[in-house]
Amino acid sequence: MSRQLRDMLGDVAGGHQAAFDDAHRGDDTSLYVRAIAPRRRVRRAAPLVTAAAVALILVVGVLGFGPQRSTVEPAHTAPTPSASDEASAPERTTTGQQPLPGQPGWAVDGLVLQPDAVAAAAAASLDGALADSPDCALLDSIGRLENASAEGWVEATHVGAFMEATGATNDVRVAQFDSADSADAYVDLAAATARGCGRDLQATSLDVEVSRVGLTGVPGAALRVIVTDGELAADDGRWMLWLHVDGTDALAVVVEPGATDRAVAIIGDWVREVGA
Amino acid sequence: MRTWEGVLETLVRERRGALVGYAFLLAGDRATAEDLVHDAIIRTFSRARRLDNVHAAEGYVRRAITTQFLNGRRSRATARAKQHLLVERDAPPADAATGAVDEVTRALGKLSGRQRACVVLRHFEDLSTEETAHRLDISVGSVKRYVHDAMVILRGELADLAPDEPDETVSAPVVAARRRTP
Repeated sequence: MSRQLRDMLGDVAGGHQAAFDDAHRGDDTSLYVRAIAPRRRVRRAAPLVTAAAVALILVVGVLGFGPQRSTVEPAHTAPTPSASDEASAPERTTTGQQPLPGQPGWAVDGLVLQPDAVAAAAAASLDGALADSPDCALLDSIGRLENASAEGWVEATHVGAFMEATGATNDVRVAQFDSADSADAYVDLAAATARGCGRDLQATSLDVEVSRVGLTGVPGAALRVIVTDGELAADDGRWMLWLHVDGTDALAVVVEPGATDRAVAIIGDWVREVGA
Repeated sequence: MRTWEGVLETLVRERRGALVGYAFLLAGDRATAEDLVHDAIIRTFSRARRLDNVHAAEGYVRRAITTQFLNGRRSRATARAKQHLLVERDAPPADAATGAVDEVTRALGKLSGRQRACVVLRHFEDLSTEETAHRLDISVGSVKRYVHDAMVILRGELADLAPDEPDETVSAPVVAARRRTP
């Protein structure tokens, strides 16, 4: 029977193999190369980013706890980005040669990227009602740039996260869509999902705000989703998703509750330096 | 051209159709099968591992297909519910199922994800029970149960499928003829 079943399965698989091969005679390897090459570069850089972060922690540790301790000032004060419909992305304040976004030592507002840090699900910090709504639950995966359509297929690369002293993060992912139309469709999906989430939460203490935001001096446009829990204080009750798209390139920043919103600085830095 | 690009080119040109056939056995429809293959190829090659021969690369891709199939069933269902919000497909890919093949496809559709995975790995990939358990990260006992339950369903659906064969055949020792007592 094993052989008989093997033959049956072979017939099914062979039929689909032949049908697929007939329909795909062209060489579309270049599409794969375009999708894969940037991801391999980011993954190769990841251990270097970790090493740089560890080295920085050691240096800070020595400065902070060594015998010649002096007052340690932060590298520079974190600017609070504007939350208007036209946000202003600060220019890179370059003093000497700074690492490029995604490269080892990339710093935004004085925080160095931690490649292994990841944002938790929104429902983990805010009201559990988020998890009960399918649309709200989907926001987490949109923040990870998942669930793209078959034609606009995309796999996101997790760049890392900027972690505050509280442990809350600005989590960064990037992806490249097959076409600008697919990328725009994904933004539309994100907006529709966020609005659906808002409708599901009408009877709760949670509120959802969805807006399109242009970043001054930065090509492309961003969708911003803010989920606020009225029962929690300020930053602790606010989860944000920034989804920036420029042509086929997408970048998502998830700002966890308790973290300062650094998305505009992150997006501005990335798009100017990497997307250029 | 970098080494991995050469391997990728060969894999896409020569083996992608076979991978779609394999993925179809798991997924049961062409669109999902193509998505699985596409996804698995990019996942496999995006990792900064050394990929210098097509055979090894195909092995990684097949593993990724199986893992993605088992892990992604829920998220794909969610994504499909949102599909109308996304880019429309030009047309559904033509399924090659006709006649007997169609019957087998329908029968496979009666199986759960894990049952399908076990049947495909055991009877199409020719892995042993132990290898299948290792690949799926489940116990040997679970593989046997999934395969057994799957075969019961398949035999019910496929009239032509012969009765089950034992997994193992043990030779019974010949016992000397006993003297009959009158």
